[in-house]
Amino acid sequence: MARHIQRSGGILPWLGLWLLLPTSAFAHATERGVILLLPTDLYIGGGAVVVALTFVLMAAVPATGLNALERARCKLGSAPAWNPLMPSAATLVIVLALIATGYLGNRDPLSNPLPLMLWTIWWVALTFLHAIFGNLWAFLHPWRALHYLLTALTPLDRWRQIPPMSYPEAAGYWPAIVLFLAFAWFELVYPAPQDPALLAHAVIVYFLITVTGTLLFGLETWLRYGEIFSIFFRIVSWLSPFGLDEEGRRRATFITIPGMRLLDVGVLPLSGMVFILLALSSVSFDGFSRTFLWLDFVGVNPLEYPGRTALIGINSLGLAAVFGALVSVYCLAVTLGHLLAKSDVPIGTQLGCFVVAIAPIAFGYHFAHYLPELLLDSQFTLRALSDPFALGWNLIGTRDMHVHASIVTNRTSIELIWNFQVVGIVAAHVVAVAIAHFLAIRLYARPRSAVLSQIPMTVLMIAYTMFGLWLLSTPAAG
Amino acid sequence: MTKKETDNKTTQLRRQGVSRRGLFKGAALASGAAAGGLVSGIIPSPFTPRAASATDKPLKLGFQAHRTGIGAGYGRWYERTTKAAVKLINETGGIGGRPIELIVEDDGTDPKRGAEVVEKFANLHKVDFVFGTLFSHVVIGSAPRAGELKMPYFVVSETPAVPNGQFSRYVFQAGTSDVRSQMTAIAKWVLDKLGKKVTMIFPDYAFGYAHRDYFGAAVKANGAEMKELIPIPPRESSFTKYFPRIPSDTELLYHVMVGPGVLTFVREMGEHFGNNRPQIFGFIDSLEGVNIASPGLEFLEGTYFWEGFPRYADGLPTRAADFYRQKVGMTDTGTYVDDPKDTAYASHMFGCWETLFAIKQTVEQSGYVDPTAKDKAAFIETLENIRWFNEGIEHPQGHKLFRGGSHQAHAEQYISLVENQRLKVVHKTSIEDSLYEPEYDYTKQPL
Repeated sequence: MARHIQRSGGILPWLGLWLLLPTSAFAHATERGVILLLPTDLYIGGGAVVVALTFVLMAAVPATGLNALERARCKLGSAPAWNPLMPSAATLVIVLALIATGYLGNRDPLSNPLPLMLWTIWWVALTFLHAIFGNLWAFLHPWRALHYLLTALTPLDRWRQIPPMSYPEAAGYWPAIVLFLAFAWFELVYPAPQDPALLAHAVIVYFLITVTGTLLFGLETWLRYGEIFSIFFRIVSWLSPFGLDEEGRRRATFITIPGMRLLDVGVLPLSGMVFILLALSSVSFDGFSRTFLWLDFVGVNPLEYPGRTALIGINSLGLAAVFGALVSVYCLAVTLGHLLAKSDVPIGTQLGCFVVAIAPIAFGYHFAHYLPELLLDSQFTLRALSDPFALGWNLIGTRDMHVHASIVTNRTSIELIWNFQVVGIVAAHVVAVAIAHFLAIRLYARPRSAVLSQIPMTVLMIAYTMFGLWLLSTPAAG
Repeated sequence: MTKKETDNKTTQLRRQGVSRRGLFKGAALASGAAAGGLVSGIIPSPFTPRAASATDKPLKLGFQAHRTGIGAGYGRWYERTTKAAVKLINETGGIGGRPIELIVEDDGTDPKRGAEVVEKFANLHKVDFVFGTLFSHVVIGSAPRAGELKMPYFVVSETPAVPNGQFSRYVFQAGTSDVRSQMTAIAKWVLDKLGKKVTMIFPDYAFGYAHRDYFGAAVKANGAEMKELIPIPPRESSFTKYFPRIPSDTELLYHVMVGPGVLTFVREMGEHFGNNRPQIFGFIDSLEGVNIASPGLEFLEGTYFWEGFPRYADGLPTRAADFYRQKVGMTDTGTYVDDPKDTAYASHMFGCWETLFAIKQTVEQSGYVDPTAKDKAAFIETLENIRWFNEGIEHPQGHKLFRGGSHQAHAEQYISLVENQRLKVVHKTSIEDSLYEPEYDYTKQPL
């Protein structure tokens, strides 16, 4: 015990008191305990082999075959282009109502619609839907209606067409990176991101930031570079088989092989690369920060998880460190590939090109990490929506619905969820390896250079597959 | 409990003009009356209110819940139990004629947030009482703030920190027993029936040390022999290398492993012993909320567990146990009525129910109306003078001896055998078995 306290140093001094006391312990035996009984080493090894074989397969297929895959797309129909003001207005009304429930509804975060709708339906379920159906947020976001309303008034009306400031090109996605870091910190490190009133404050703050950005730089510009969820959902939507083509004043919908739209993204600026790596590193850290390995490393007894407040400092550092480490290994892998291929393509171009292949992995981690939460908390959401202000209403007849918590606690469903998670992680890396190879073929004149350039990246992806599966199977607190 | 302690207690009760036998008889009668009342749909309280409250405005109760964080599994069942008790109380006349208004705040199973939640209850919601904290470290982070704010605060934790005097006069554990009393209670039967040559396997930190020390002392006191102590580092996820350290002449293996490694621990223990094993006893904390019939737990067949409240209905149920199960939605096999795969946290959650009824009884007896210093003082002094919470609908787990000095309830405990992959109660300890020399007297603190 003394060793723990000493090692924890300044991080947890106040915890010393209770660590020395006899305590009862209620750490969970379920969930992770069930997974620990599975042959997880075989899953991890198998996942790595599948990703490695994907690389071999891609290297063996001639470029012409790959081109055929790339061109496979089918037009589904077209419609006049429109600015979706009504869906945006509807979302705005819903968000304002949710903010009201945050302040006036039940204090219990599992009975209040705001935290459930925001963290479960919007951040998790809607992200899943983006990977299937494409960029829904572009139609649904509330900013268009809000911007329209604000610029309907004098003196702001002239800013609708001509914003007062032009967005500095050098700023790229950096404002979004800062905002996403703050968002990730709030979600993963801050002690009470689910507290309804605190969350309502946070939503209002984000509204103010976005309103400021859209007014100063124009709606479309801020949505492109500064509004982090427009950027995040756009990235996830690249995985969807459904896309839009501009045809004059019309928009055509097409369907293609899932993931192929990543090839249309092009070369991202350095800040775009950093944003994608940040999205992946934050979800990776969330899993990592609960592992016994991390807790032991920071001097916390994993069987006495002290709660988030005690870990704010060290987890803030951890989040930053994982982010830094991922950027470093990615840059290293691309640079090594560049050297192996003896390429004359500028390294900046390669960094901005291959990072697109990381997008599927970011989504795969998001899917695997949040799947259990979605299955459980979506039930709480349904229940909460019936009585949003805790007034005894039963709006949609679900107020007294039983939440089937066993979906995340009984052995059969835990094993089923685990298998879905494994498939999600491995499939994401398979797509990533494949896309990286497509991009390499485009970038390098010689097929041999393309293959050589991808060896370090493939090693990184195999390692990240194993890391992802290990995160889901290693002993963890909570 | 020593003879001296028993004598002291009996003398103390006699001084109050009542024998313990008489009290238990009264309790049984009260329970019977209550059960009779069920038929007509009216549930009379065995405790006559001193007077109907002067107001009918709601009594505000702050429920400090582990809704998120590592305690969320417990939190779900604590919430169900709490809501069932509140519904029952409100349907049957409330507390002193006042309905309960329940305000739930999530502490994230985080000690610092726990203290903040206590502040919100006191300053923002202006509740009358706060209850519900389970995890010891959250109790230890929250309860001092309750004392500073002079907020009556009921933990439902089992933590020995209440009876050993770490808190203030405002902090109580009236609905459940503490771990020391649990271990004290079961020791004699376990050592007499299962074996006197003991090896203990426990996690190598404070929780494990409490078991080592309290049960170790009982081993000595009962003339048994501690053959080996095997602490397991908390980070360990495989236990195979520790089993060879169990002496071959061990008659009783006492295990208290917790955390995600428990299922692996059981499996590896089974692989180590095969069919030739000593008697094995553990605390259900290891497998609370886990289906005992899960594949991989077959090795537990024929082993014994402590239970706070029997998960399965067969085997020494109290008269009110069925009623309680029905109201909470817990089936006879310890699962949720609408979700047969959702195993209850039966050994702990009854504490919420019983705490609410302890508050009800105390409010009604003390004439508490408002959170004024005077009413709070009357409430606390009344509670400190209550000696028994009698078995019945209000206390379906069993009788509770309440020690007003240490603010701690002492309860009967259950020892269950795993038989046909079910837990079957084979022994119920007496309250006397759970008593130890009180460590602290809160009544000496000023209010």
